Amino acid sequence: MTKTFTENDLIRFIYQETSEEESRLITEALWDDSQLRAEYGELCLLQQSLDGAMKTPRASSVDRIMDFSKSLDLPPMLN
Amino acid sequence: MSKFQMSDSDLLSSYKQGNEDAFKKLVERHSQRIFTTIYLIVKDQYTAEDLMQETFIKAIRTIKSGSYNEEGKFLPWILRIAHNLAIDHFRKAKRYPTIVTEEGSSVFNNMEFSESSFEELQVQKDTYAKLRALISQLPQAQKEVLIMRHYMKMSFKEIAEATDVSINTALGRMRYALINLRKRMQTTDLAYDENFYRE
Repeated sequence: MTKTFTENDLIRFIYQETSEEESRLITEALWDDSQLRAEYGELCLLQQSLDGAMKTPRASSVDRIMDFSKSLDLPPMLN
Repeated sequence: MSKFQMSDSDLLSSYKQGNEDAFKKLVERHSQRIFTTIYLIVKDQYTAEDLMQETFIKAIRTIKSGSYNEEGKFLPWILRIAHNLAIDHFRKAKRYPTIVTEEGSSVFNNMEFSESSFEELQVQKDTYAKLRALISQLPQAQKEVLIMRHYMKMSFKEIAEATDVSINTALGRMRYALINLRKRMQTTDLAYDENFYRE
């Protein structure tokens, strides 16, 4: 029995929000359904692109954060 | 020397004991994601850097004063601070509710980079800058879900609760965001650009 999956299901799948059973069924469906596979491939590439589009702050920004942290001289906390 | 990476929770514990290097590791680990989340909302490098610093300063004050109580959930916690600060910034500037697609390529022209080394890297940077511009141009509701899910790593359930919509609506918005991005990438010749998919 083949279940039909929607693009919403694929989105949940690539963001790892499907249940174990759903993931298994989607993985099986990807083998059988070339259109679903193509869609999945496109979504994965887009996801990679979004990761690549992350922007790095200047090092001076990070330095200022660390300077502030060091300047805030509170006693070490006890757990 | 351990070959395993320390967890955020372990680094926080160490920081609470006065180990500044532990906090530096946390900053280095998460600053790119936090900065990107802010940047995609405010669309300005310098404002985003200011707000990122403000975010970490709030976090530092909270942690060092002993008020931090979300052990093991550092990233979602600090991303919420960052997101709220970015949204507040826009509300104060009265721009946030009225973001619409800008005509032409003016947003692209505003992108700037402080470093340029190899031409290839520059092309790649430009390509990603254009993608960020495309994200910024998405309809507000779609952009919000995309930032929350992809960059803030919130689940669709958490997004639905935060934005007061159903999970299906949040999913639908994400789907349209991705469809729109794909379409816009195609119309701006970004689709299938090898620079996107290079490791």
